[in-house]
Amino acid sequence: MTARKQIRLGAHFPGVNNTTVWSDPAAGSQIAFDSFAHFARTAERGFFDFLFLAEGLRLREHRGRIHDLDVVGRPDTFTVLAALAGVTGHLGLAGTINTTFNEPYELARQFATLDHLSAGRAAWNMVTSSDAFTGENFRRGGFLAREDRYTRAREGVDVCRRCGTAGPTTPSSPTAAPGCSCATAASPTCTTRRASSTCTAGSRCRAARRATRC
Amino acid sequence: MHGRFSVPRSPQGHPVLIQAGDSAEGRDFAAATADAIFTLHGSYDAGRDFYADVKGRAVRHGRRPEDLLVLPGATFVLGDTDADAADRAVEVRRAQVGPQTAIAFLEQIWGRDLSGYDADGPLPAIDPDVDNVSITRGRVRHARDPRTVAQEWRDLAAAKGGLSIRETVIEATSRTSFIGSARTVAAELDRYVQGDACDGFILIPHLTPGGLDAFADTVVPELQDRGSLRTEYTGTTLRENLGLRPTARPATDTTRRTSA
Amino acid sequence: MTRRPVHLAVEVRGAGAHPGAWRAPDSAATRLFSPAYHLLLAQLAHRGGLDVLFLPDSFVPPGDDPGLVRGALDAVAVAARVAPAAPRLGIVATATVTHTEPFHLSKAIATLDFVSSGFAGWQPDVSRTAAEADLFGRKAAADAGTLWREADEAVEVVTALWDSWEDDAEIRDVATGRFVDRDKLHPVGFRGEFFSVAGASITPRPPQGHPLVVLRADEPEALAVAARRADVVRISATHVGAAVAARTRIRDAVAAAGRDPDTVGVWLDVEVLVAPTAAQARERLATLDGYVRTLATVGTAPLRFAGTPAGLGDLVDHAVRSGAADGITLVPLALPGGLEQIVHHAVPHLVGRGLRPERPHGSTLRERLGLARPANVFEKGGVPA
Ligand SMILES: Cc1cc2nc3c(=O)[nH]c(=O)nc-3n(C[C@H](O)[C@H](O)[C@H](O)COP(=O)(O)O)c2cc1C
Repeated sequence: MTARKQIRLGAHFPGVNNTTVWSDPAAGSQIAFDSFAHFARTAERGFFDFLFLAEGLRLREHRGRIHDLDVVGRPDTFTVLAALAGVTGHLGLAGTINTTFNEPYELARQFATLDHLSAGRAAWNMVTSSDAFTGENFRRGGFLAREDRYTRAREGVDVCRRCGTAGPTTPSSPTAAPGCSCATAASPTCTTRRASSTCTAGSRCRAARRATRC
Repeated sequence: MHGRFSVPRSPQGHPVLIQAGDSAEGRDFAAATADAIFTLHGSYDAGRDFYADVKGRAVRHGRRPEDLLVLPGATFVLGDTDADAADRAVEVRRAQVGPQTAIAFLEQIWGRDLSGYDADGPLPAIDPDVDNVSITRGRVRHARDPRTVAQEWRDLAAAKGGLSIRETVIEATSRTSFIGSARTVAAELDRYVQGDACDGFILIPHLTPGGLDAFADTVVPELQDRGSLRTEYTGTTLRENLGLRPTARPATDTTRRTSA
Repeated sequence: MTRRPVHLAVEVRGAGAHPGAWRAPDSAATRLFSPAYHLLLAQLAHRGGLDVLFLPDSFVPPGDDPGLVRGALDAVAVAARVAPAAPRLGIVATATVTHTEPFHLSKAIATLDFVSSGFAGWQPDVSRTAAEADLFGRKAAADAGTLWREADEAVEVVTALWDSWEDDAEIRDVATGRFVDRDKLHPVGFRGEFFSVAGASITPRPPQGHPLVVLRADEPEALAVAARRADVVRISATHVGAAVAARTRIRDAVAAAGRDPDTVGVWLDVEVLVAPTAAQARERLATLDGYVRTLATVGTAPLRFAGTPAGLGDLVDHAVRSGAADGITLVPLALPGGLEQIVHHAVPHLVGRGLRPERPHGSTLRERLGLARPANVFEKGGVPA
């Protein structure tokens, strides 16, 4: 008998579009931690694989003004997921994180941290959206053309993968004799020369080919 | 960039990778790299096509089809009976598309100020302003010619016997939704999965924070009874629970472990 | 003379501030990256009724010295992980501003304030080294003057982003279909020497309005930023006399920046090792020293105390009476044992001497510290400073 195909379930926290009904008397806060905790606990009670947070890095505008008809406002993804790791025990914690407006090293460290703090429950929804409007909130500014977006996304994942599997080793024994090594040999060095890492506003890219050594 | 990383290997090595993006580049990136794709291809038939497409791409990248999970976003409305759920779904849609929201949707397509229009009245006779595509900023836009969309909406309104602006928007912007009793919804979700229209779903409830409560209480036991959903978590990591292969551990690290 | 209460914080660094701490048999050296370890520390601090738990951080990559603990987790995430389990404990995480995005920092710290129900704080710091710059590959390392000018901008824009939502911006007006009053959402429109940020935050104004902003003023270049922007200024000094001078300098700078020095606390770092008897404390310290081949000190050697709870009480009392500090940050030399000693023995002693309240009050960290909830710079047509 072959095992029946198992259904995978993600629980999308109601977001900032018109799918979310805020006018219902039963609708609660979209920002209080209790709302996230309740939602996460329900998902875990229902044996979901993961909780899912979407993200948009600039408040939406309509006809030149902030769009006010849908829910507005959401927390920082990493921070709320780290807190949710404390109120759940099995549920995956998936965050939508933009590959254009975050730096690969920092992301790798944040995801590695989340994975430690949740004992192995971190997931990354990689999105590449990069309009100039959103870019105005960031040092990088500007936007990237679609090919460049995915080149940068690939590099971001690459750094995350290499770093995630190559960090220092934790001390093997706290009672090691004085003078003994705390960690093993130097942690591997990651070098990534990235085609898109030097993009500046208006998407001028250094044409350097990517060279990765680890 | 170069340098040493400051965090030891985490339990999963790296996070489970999900990708959302629908262009050929996006699909290819997912096929080569991701553990799961978040998609909006919601109907059964469109789902089967998408599933076959991206699993094929994964294989072309030297991966197994099961290394890449296809997870469409889906909404749902539950009721004691199917009829009850259908009634509720109508209410939910009306709450999601209030009169002001209906006009805002219309303005996105038409690229004009339509605040003078009555949401309960007919669609505007004027044509979209195709040069004004940036009326809405900061959200993902799926670029289609506004004139085509406007014509589709007019045809839709006419075919349904003269829908109002609000009714048209409700019809035209509705996405795949699973509507029915817990048993019906469970059966339908399972049909999609067993029929290879997807591997599961990212469910999008419409209420914060209680929108998942009834699903967990009523649909989940039905799915468990069907043998399609776990009755306990068996893995220690998300990757294991999703049935994915473990991430590779670099050879150097293995050597260190054995010598430790 | 009426004395203000002594604020008491603890900063936890790795296995302890002593470089040999990880080798102690009761250290948590193999669990430094596990959530359980951080939970233990936060819950201890919570039990001790401390005002603040400081979680330091930096991007400095692990060095070559095999005798040192290597690596650390992202402090803001650690803070968020432990906050729900330690209600009403102030949690202040370091987050650097040199290579990071002010927009992300602002919402991260705001979110920490939401998950801690108003007990969050932020300690901005700069990334000084080329090794850190290389991890980002975006710009070269800079001198202290440049770094702190940029930090000044970063704190300004992070704060403006907290204010970009007025407290009552969310209206949920069903009749008009409006979720927010968009006249109460303000694009920050910041253009500085180092970066610009256009829009409003995506995160509403946090419970405290502004989470606590803590800055170190050990470097002269940091002093002006601290004077303008800090709620609490941390100092390190080799002896109480030096701390008195530093505190005077800081209060003068705060006044020169047009602020009331009594609204800006100066907190002094004290590395501690507490034991039931002075001899035991000395012996314990000697053991830690013996684990390390050479004891190199980087920068100013901070005040260090190894002794009994009563001795620590004397030091705290002396520091406060002589005007060296409004608060003390205890930095345990060894963890978690050092924090257990503080919580179980030193704090009760301080309470007994009236140096600490029996039960800490305040429904937010700002209230706990006697600080007002900041006005919103955007309200009533105001513009950011
Ligand atoms: C189902 C789905 C969900 C998405 N969610 C987000 C999101 O939460 N935040 C975001 O910035 N972009 C989101 N995106 C946008 C994608 O990351 C991507 O930018 C967009 O689809 C355009 O990429 P493409 O050209 O490959 O289609 C989403 C896309 C899809 C298809």
